Amino acid sequence: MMRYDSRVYVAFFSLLKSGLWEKEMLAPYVFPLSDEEWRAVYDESVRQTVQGIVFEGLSFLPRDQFPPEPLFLCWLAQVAQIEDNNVRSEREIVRLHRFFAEAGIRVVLKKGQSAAVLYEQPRQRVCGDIDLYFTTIADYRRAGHLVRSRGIDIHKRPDGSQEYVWNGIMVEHHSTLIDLKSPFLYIYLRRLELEKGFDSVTFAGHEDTPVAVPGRELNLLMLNAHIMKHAFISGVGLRQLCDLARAYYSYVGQYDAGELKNSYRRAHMLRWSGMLHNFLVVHLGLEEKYLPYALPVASTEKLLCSVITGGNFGQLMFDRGHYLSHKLYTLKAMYRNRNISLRYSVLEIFCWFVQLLYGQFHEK
Amino acid sequence: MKINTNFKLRVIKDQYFIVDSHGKSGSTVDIYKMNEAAAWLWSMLGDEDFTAEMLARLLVGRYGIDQKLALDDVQSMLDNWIQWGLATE
Repeated sequence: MMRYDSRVYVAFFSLLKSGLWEKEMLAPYVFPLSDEEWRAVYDESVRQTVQGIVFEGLSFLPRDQFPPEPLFLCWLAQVAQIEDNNVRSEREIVRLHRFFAEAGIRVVLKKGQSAAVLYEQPRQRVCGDIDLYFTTIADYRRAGHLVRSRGIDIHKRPDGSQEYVWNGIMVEHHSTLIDLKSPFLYIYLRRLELEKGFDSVTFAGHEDTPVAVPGRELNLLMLNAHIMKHAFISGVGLRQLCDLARAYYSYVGQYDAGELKNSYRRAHMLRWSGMLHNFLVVHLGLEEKYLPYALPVASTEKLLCSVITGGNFGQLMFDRGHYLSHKLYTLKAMYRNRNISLRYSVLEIFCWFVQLLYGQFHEK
Repeated sequence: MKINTNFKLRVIKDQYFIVDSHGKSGSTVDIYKMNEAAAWLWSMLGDEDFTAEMLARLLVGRYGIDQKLALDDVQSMLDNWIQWGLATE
């Protein structure tokens, strides 16, 4: 296992910061890198699905310190494909939005492209599935029926969400916006949703179709809780952490920081958030002034270790291919991440465990 | 003549690349490296028709070079663009 302070990781994180904030945040003493070190930086950026952001950071290097040309061109091709995938994803989001709107169903875009719009170069963020949230259970069920009526197979997932393939892109339907499973929070989160409401975004070329996204405070709470869930269960990658850093930066002064802190307190996420905020500042270069409240001192070592060994959604640790190995994967991953989950929220990890266990017996 | 708008110009640290932005995931992506003058001409072109003479006039205006030399260079460049699918007649 490579040390986190190795030249490769120092170079990787400094390029990531430069790309994320579009300003020079390089550690000049590690450059130039050898061909092998460049390969390792590229591989790490792919593992963490931040290759588009790290590529952006290259533009702050002098040309004579660039990666070897074959690797550079391969990287450039990847970035072009990421942009193309984003264009396709945006087009399908708009189609889905219209499809459901025609049936009188309101959808809210969670994560993914709604986080991408917070970046300087939204189309350089690797896009994953399309996550749609339905504000009522009735809409959630009707949406499922509507998709089935088009002859599309829908699968229920252990966490209660539904998934299907829409024009070649995986889509997930959710009946909850925020990934917090404690039953004591249900009413509070619903009330928060009604109070804070939703914003809308448009995508280039589709300006006539605004798509609903969570309002600023809801979005921050959602992104934070999503990272916490994955850090506790399957593992979290840097892309999700970059999303939260960009959200704090983009929303500064546009939401009530006191209320957000109160929401974190109500959700027992204050201690977790303190550590997470340290991570955003130390490893991703977010300036402290963009955080909602003063930064407490907390070690980020366990989360860094989890991020580096697990990668995007912990996909680097175990083989998830076979059905049984997939089930074991979740259990193994939860056990592997126990140092983080048991330290920050025993209640949440217990509720997630119960939910996943329940989901195993009700999975179709 | 028209340029193929599937290709996009990317400028990275004084290097100019034309990249196929409509490659399918997992397939190859075509990338062409250009010099500064060719990239500038490309950036001037949109979805509209153009001729070699029009591009030569642009070069003369920007670089102050001889009209015939500019036309020869443009013609040679456009032959490549057509061959590589960057432009259509």
